[in-house]
Amino acid sequence: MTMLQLDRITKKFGDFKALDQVSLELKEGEIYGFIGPNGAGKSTTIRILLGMLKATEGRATLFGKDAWKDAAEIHKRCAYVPGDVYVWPNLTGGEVIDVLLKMNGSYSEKKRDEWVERFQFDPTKKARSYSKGNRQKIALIAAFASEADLFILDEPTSGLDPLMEYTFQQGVREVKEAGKTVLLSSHILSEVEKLCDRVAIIRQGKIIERGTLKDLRHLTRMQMQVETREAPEGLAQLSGIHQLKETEGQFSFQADTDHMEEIINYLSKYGVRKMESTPPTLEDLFMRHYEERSSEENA
Amino acid sequence: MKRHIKGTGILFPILMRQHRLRLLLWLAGLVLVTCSVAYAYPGMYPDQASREAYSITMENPAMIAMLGIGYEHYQEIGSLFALEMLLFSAIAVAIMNILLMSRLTRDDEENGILELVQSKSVGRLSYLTASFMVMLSANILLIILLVTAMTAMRIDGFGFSGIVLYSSLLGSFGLLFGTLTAFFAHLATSSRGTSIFSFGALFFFYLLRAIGDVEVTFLSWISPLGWLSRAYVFVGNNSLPVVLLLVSSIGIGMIAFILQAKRDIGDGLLPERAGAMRASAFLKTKIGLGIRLQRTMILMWMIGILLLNIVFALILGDLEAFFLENEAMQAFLTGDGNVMEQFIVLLMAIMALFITAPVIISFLRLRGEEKANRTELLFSRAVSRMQLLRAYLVSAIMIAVVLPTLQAITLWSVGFIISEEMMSFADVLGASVVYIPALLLVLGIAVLLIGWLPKATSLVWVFLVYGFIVIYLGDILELPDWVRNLSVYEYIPAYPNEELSYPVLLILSGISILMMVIGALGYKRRDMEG
Repeated sequence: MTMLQLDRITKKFGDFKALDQVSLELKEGEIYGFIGPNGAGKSTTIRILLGMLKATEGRATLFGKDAWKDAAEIHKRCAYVPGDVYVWPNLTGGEVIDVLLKMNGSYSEKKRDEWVERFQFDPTKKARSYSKGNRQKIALIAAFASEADLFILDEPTSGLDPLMEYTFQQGVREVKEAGKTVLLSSHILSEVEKLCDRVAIIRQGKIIERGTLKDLRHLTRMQMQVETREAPEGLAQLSGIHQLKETEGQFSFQADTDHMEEIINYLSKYGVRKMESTPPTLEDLFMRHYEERSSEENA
Repeated sequence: MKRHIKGTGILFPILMRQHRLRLLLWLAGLVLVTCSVAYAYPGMYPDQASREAYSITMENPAMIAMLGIGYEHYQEIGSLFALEMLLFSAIAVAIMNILLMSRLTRDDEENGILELVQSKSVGRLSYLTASFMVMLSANILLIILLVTAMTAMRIDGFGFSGIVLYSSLLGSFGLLFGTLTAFFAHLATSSRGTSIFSFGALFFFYLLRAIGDVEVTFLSWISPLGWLSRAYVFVGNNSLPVVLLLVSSIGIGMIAFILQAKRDIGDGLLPERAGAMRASAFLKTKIGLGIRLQRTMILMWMIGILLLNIVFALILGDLEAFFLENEAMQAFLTGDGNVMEQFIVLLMAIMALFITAPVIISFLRLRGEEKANRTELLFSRAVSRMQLLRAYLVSAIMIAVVLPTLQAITLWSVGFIISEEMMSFADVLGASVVYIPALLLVLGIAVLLIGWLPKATSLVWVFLVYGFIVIYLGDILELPDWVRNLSVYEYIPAYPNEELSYPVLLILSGISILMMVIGALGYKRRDMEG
């Protein structure tokens, strides 16, 4: 079942096109990664989903309802965590959490207290004295303690320490186990890698890549380390080999996955002693995308 | 010692630059108001008879409580000026110093600026020393400017030594409150707490002096505000109060420096109370949240407006004497009816303008919340645009209805005790609540702006300022009717002097409801900033 759908969304601010024909679809029970650098349009997309901004063109639906018209209705089943959490400075953290939970109807105090405990959050302080990470915890507790079906998380961990980040990841996994859907926007790629089933990459308001992590890796290169009995002459001339380096008889290079067969065949003639391959991290994938795009643009 | 204040020389100009514009505006305002009032005084009390008449008014305990103890005689015009201006100017100077010093101390500490500076090769006391230097410069500058300007004007009855003493009193009073604020900054853990302590002290000293001046003299000697009138500026020219102010500033300043040297950064000496773990049922409603966020603001305005009403009610008994002898005041009262009735009608017109402020502030909080990115959190929950707008609108309307009613009750009950000729309660209530449609109209304009021109919502203040101009200067400048009628307040009938015109009130209310509806439609369909 489709939980969330963006159909060719375009958003203009004056002459500036912040989003250009963005389409996304989230199925029930999946964790969807939404990655891109700052200013690429992640938050604008999310604000359209939340009915804060009205799309110039296209249609955004959540649970089959219109994101703009039925905003309040939709939000009963949503939990949102922004990257920068701004709260009322003269309320205590505990009060803010309760207010946010109550706005969606009834909530379980037990669950709320459990998450306060898990995030090691002191709810008795005035919100003005909380650090960025602590303010983020307020929104995270209010999200995880709610009975939402769809979680929209916009760079939710940028202020958390590694221990709390782990708690956050646990939370997201538990949410998934309960059959709920998560849209996780981030530029911390390792986080997306750990959690997400599918990802979409956005850049300058356009979705430039989408699919499962496996799909995306097919498009890219493996990092190889090889040691052979005889020096493999002419390796550099093979197609599909990049950034070849030699150190004390060890060769390291990046290999295009679609040329892998030829490369292995070629190397085997020189007596392979040791061979290591590592799949590309999302970082590599990301960097490569940008290199290509900008070199295309330069050309 | 020297290593403790290392870097002060670099910090001082930076801090000075940070605050120079604000200080300049404050100083310009203070000097301008002081000088223009001083200039007007000889004309207001041209002969000895009018000054004697004034001294009778000043024997009224209500006036003493408000302005402080008077002089034995008023041969020097400067003494009249000092009596009416010294106390309130001192309070204004104190407010300038409190705001300045709480920014320079706790605010900068709270925002992490102090931490950043302290991480450099800078002494432990440098930031505070530089802050004190800024505050001291501001007060010295104030003294110099006042002395220069007032001497240059060469007004009769303003002797040079009196001018110097008057200015020094203000400057050293400012110094005391700047120092006191630096001291309170060590107690509280937030700049808000620092300001609350400092303003609280100012209010407390004012009350202490008021009681002291009327009943128990020694209380006035505990309050620095009480010292001011004991200088008998322009007549006795007693400089003991200046000495007292300076000595106590030095004493408190030394404590502030010692505490600064001992205290951990970010720490406060008073234990911080743990706040509520959970939200109350009231806070969890949309209207409850809106009201709770503005609790202090609403309460302050309510106390301020009711206090003003009490003060004015107290002088109701002496009205005839006060107005008959004061030509400047007579210019205000041009309508029909007896003096008291005219006075109350005028008072209610002015108070309606004052009450407009909390109504507008309260509603514009919605825009403030949006600019501070806090509506996002609510709209991402099951809260619709209309629900939030309605919550803020309802609390603003409540203020617009409740405050005029409370004010009428206060004014009438105090007036009833003071004067035998007090108007009937129905008339006082009518004179006050008749302005509710005007309040709603201005509120309607605010709703219209927030819906369609969110970036220009502050324009609504223009209507209030214009209302003030028409009431205060309308007669003096002889503004034509059509210019006056641009102010929405002018359409309100001056009940009970004039007949109540229900059609006018209904039309005004109708227009305001229409504007609220149109504004709401705009709010519903526009993009939210945050």
